[in-house]
Amino acid sequence: MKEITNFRFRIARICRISYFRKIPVLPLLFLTLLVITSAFPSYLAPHDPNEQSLGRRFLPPCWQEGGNKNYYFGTDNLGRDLLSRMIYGSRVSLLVALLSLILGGLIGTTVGLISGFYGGRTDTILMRLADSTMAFPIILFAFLMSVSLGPSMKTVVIAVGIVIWARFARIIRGEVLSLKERDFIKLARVAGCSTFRIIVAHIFPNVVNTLVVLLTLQVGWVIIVEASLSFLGAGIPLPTAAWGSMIAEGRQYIVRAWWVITIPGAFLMLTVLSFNWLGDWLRDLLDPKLRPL
Amino acid sequence: MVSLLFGRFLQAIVTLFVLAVIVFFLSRLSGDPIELILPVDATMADRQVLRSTLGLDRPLTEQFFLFLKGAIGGDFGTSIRERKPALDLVLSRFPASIKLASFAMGVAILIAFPLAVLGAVNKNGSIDIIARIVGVLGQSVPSFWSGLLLIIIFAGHFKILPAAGTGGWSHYLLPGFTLGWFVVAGMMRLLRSSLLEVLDSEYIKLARIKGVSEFKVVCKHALRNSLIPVVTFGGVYFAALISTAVVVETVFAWPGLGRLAYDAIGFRDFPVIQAVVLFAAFLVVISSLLVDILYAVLDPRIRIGPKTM
Amino acid sequence: MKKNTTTIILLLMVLSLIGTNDIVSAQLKPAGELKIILPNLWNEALDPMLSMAGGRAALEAVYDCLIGAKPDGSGYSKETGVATDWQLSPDGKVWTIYLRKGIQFHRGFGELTAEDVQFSLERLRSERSVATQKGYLKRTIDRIEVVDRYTIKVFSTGMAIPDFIPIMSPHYNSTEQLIVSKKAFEKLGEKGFATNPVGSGPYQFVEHIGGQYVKLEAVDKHWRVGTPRFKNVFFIAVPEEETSIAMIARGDADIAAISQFNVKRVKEKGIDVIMQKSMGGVTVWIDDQFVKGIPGNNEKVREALNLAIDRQALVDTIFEGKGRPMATFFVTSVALENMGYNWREDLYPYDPNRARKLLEEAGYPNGFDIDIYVYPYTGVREGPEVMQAIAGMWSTIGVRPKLISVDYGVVRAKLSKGEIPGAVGYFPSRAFPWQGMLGIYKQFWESSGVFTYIKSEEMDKILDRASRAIDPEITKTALKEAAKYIRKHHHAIPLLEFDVAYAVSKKVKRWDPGSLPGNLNLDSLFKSQ
Repeated sequence: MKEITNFRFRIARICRISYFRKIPVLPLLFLTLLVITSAFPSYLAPHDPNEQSLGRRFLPPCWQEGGNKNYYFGTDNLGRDLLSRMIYGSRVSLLVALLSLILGGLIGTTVGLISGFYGGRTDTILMRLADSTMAFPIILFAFLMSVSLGPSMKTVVIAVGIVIWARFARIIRGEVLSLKERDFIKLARVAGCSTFRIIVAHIFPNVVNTLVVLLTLQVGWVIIVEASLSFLGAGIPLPTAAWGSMIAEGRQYIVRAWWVITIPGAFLMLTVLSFNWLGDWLRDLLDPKLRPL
Repeated sequence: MVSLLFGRFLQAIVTLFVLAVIVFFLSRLSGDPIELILPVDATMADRQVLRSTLGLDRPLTEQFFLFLKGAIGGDFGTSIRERKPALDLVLSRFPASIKLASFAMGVAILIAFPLAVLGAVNKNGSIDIIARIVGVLGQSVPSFWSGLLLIIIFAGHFKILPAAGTGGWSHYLLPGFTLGWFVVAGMMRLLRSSLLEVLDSEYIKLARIKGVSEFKVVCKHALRNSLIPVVTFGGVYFAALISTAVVVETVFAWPGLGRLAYDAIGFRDFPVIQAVVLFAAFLVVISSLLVDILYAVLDPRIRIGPKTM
Repeated sequence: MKKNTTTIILLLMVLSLIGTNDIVSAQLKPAGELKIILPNLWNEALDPMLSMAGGRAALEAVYDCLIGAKPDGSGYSKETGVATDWQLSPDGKVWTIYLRKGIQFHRGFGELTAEDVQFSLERLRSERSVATQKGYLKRTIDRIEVVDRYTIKVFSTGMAIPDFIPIMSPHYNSTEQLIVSKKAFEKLGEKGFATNPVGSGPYQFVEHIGGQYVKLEAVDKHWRVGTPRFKNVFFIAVPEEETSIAMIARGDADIAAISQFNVKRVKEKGIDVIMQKSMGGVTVWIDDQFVKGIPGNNEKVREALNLAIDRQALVDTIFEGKGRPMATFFVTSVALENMGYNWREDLYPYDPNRARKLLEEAGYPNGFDIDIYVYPYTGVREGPEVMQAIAGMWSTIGVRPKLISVDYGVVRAKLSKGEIPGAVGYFPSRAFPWQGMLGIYKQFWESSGVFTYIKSEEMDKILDRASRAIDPEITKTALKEAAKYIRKHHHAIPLLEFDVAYAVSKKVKRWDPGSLPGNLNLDSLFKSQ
């Protein structure tokens, strides 16, 4: 029996919706450029991001007096080229965000699917676990983890992932709960499909929309958390360039060498704005039910 | 409804228990406070003496039971660093935290509400777009950056507001605004979408047909009904604000729970870490319980129970 | 008419005399507030036994020191401490200390007598104490006897104890020297004292808001300071430098330590900056050099590491030129000059080529990996920056540095367990007068020390000579030998010293912070004009 999914129906509907025509061009463009940059940093960066020279300390951006075209955005406190650090840093920050979201998303989605589908005691236990995790103060948890395991990219990813999964789980579970009662699922069950197949082949595809929206909206938040962790001394360790740690370190020079904190900060802002704009559009497009997010 | 509440209450206890386990083992994973307290030339014997004084030489499970037993009675042990009861420390810093969180929520409401209403009414108009940008900005800038900028401008340059510490009402402005801005986006988005849904509903259309002024329609009818998700969000977020304000508290030297926890972690002060985390979680759990009650009062469908939905 | 006028004039004169008296006495009353910013209040303990070295600043005003010291670090003072005189027995095993009469404790707890000194010292050696020198005091002191109301005798366990006196003076940045009131403990108990400490200093405790500030109030008259100038003194904890600068700019605080980077900008804002010359420093250590086979075990390697650092560049850039390169372990130039030690002889040239050759000769033509521990350390904001900079310099000679940023507690734990041989980290150099050097050198250079870097018989002999000597000149000479030994075999990588900058408000214009470690010489501020 043919599996009846909503896919084709959905895609047709999407094409008709007026939202589709209002594609947010600017954010998409910016993000595409960003992803490309972070994927090929060695081709684009003019210098080694860790190359120091105390003599070149605090060069201002090239459009200011004293600036140097070779060091477009100027240099930081150790004479390292800011532009190169930004380029390499984008890779680190995006990677951290991606990995932690994948970690949190995987765990959260799995738990949400199981919890929503099986219901009963499994549901209660899993959701209580989720609640516990959400009640834990996020930054403190990440800081504690970092102190225990030593600060590193791995620690940040694990800490953020663990904090995030509960949110994914709750929302996915909600979706599954409402999907469970739908006709096409009941039909699949009657047709004798195994539970596993139902979850993976029928429920999950309909949950993907929500997942994508959630992921997009959380990216900005993760990078900000990374910056806050660096501020507390528990983020991506020196000397690795990462936007969050660059902003946190740069705050010591905030007035005299404003570019060290402002340029990564501005780019971070643009990135979060773009992701949020994109996420909003995706949500309106794919799953308007999620508006409260 | 009583059974519902009782169930939620039981679940809250379980949540706290799980959390207690997590924080107990996690903080012990973070290292050894002995090394941080003792002077450089302390001997092995000194270390042993301090360890048993602090009760750290007993097996972990025994320590955990002692901790649980105490916690239920309200005794969270003695701070390793300050040699004072951990709960006293937490309670002494709690007022500062809650005052700041309240102020921040107030700021958030003051900004988010008008912007959300205006945005919903003029959907996709210029005000809507500006409102959304303002909101998102609050979530796209790390709070230590915005906080420092505010300090440099208003305290350092214009000298009209104090940079740090508690004191009169003027001390609340900068940190409260920094903290509140973060919340604005979430609150605004929630209210706006909730409003949009409500504004689409039948009885609003009816009111309009009846000739009720747009202002009254929005403010009196629509707003009241769109508050529910906002209250839910706000209630739980408020409790979370108290403990996640570490960064703002550090920048503004605010003597709150966030900084207490941060210092405690740095010093491996287990009793205080445990006390702060559990206290913060307790606040979150209580507030979500209260919100659930409020929810049930406001929305009769919940009162009756899920089966009828 | 005339009579009335005369009466009125007489009356006016009398009234004006009374008025002037009031004005004069009003000037002598403490007035106003002094607010001092610290990066933190350490473990917020106000009991000297429970506080740690880092917490000294706030206690300075509340308690008096047993042995006084001159603020410029040049020696002891018989005027500024509780003790008026002290004598060592010929065999070096008994100290007799004579106390000043008439020192009053706060809040009516009576006069400071020998009993209080005995009580304070015994407390420091007790189980609950975490005083820095507790171990030393327990090992070397057998008992403390009250001879009479103003005299105590300190008996050693058998060895000569000339270094008891330096420890009891502000030459040591710790809290052992502060005298507490025995009667206060008897009346208030441990907990009561902890929340309401009683000392004999110019300011008494009023309030402590955890995590925020300590508030003190002037006593009416202090034996050393007279009538204190300010009515209230606050020690405020502000972690962020920018925030503290804004507070000074706005007048919400009076003293804040700032980094050299911000000095120019702060001056442009019209805020005064006072420099404490040579009070800060950075010394890099190499752990467990006695372990065979590691690069740190090889003298040529250590020399190469020293030669590859451009110290002058570090001073000129990170510290804006307000400092100087150093090559003597842990001690600053001021202290060394007071000792008669020619520290300039020790300086290393910047010679990366020679460094590379040395590495080849040592058997590391392709360089080697090295772990560099980077951690924030109170008092040296620039620490991590300096470590990153030298990591960069070392990579140009083929060494492959791996930066590890954890907090200092973790590093200390690893050091005490000997887990990281050959790893490198930093300490802030101190402006110890030479009297303070002995304890530090023993901790790090004596084979039996927990944190020792080397196991050398020769060094052990030198330090032994230094500890046993009853004549301070012999100790001084031995310490100089020890410093030379370290330098000769390149056992450490001292980097530089720098001037500490304080942004100050108009109230504090003529303040001399002095040259004692951890001590802000607040006396000079507390004294009325």
